[in-house]
Amino acid sequence: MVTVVVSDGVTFTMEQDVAFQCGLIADFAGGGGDQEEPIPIQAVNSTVMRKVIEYCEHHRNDPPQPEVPEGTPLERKDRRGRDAWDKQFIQVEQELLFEIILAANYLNIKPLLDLGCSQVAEMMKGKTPAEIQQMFNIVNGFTADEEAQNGEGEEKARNLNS
Amino acid sequence: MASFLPQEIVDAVLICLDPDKDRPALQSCAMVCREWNSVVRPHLFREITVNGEDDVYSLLDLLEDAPGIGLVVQDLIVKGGTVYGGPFFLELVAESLPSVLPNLTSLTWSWLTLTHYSPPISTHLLNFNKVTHLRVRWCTCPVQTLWAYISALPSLQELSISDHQSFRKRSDDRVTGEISPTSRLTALVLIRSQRIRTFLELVTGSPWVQSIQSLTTIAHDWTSLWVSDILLAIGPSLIHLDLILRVYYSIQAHPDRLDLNANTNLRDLTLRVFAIDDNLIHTIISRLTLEHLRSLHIHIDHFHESHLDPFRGVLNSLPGRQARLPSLRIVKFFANPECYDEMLLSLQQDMDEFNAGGRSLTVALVPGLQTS
Repeated sequence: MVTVVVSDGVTFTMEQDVAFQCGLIADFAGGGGDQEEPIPIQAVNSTVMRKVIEYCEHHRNDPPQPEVPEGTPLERKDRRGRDAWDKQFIQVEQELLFEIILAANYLNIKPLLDLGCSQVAEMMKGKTPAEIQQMFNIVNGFTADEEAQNGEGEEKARNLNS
Repeated sequence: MASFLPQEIVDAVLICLDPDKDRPALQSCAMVCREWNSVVRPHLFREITVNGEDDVYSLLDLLEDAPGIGLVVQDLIVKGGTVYGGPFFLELVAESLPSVLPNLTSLTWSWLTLTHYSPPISTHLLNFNKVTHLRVRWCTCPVQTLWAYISALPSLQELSISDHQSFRKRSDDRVTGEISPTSRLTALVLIRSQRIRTFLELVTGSPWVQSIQSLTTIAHDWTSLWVSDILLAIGPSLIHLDLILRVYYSIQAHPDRLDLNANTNLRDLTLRVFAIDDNLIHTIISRLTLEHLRSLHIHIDHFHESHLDPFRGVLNSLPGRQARLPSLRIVKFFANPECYDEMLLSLQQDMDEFNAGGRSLTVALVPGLQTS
């Protein structure tokens, strides 16, 4: 068994095959036997950790995923598909979704990170640039001229590839 | 940039958007902020289509405003049609775009009608000096003219010609002198096109094709083009052959036409057979003496729906020399899904016997029609 303690002081105990889906925990435990001391996970709170553990428990028996080159678009990767359970699992509020992604990145759980990123990409579809800026809390750094030029350029490009 | 997610994760999110399917979303993302613009642009402009001369001028206009876009374009699709698509269109493309798209590696010529040879096109095509991959689809052009243009590309490695139509009358008179391509092809796809024989005659013995390792092509009985002709055209470098055979009449009188042994270096062989004669596949397989063959994939059409003779024919026809063949894969297409389980069950013993020798026999039964 592996025990972790998260940022708000809550302790979680997991079986090894669940815990070791997190690359960080596997590295921390060194692949050895049961850990006596709880592993501190300061960057993740208990709400997010519960979701992470739920994901890892569901996928504990999955076969290892083949290596794919970095930068390969998700749909072209021969990796674990988004099954119905995954789709349901990742249907959460945006704030929690971002926290799950950050936790997956910190804990080094690649399939969960991919699932989260893919869900965010889905959420961006159909949105205007202003709505995406709001979604990501981004201040538009373009000057008015640049914005006009961008718009014109995108319009031309859109016409070219239509 | 103030964001809930760090840039490395934003990059991972943006790469989930497909440049083809999610183009509107990518275009919105490009206008979110400078950082996103720099990430999205290479995806957004990796592939550009110019559909007629007006599009070429629009692209030049766009690149004048934003020359950085030209640096990320890797794939250019030159698409003609009923209004555009003549020699002037291709000449305009070849003259004006190489300098503004310096990193182009892939070209597609689609629906072009090139009635006669134009030397300036060949001259300008030389400037696409990083293009390694050319696809020619649905173009109408004399074979020699087409070859002259193709061979002008100095770095070409992979060539695919499909659905090419030639002209009934010879209109290649203006192709003068000997064409000496500087590139070395490694992969050639040549299917569903008229005058394949003429094309192969043109390239036979040329150093241009002497380095081809991978060939996908078709042989069918109504044009008298046979496997042995194809293998003669390509040099001994050929190691992967994907061959579509469409045979509707008896070939028993000319088995030599299906001789694959002309190239003894073949390592991977895929045969996609459309034939009404069961003996065809037996004839081909039983004559194989390829010592280096390491994998054999056979796709059998669905003509013989109810019995498995083609499978057993393959297994029984493998000559002794192929006893070491490590991988054999047979794909059988069939129209009636109800017979799937029965077919698979009755093949099990054959598969077990084959695999007992440490080899790998896999059989796939695929509902539907085989497509080439």
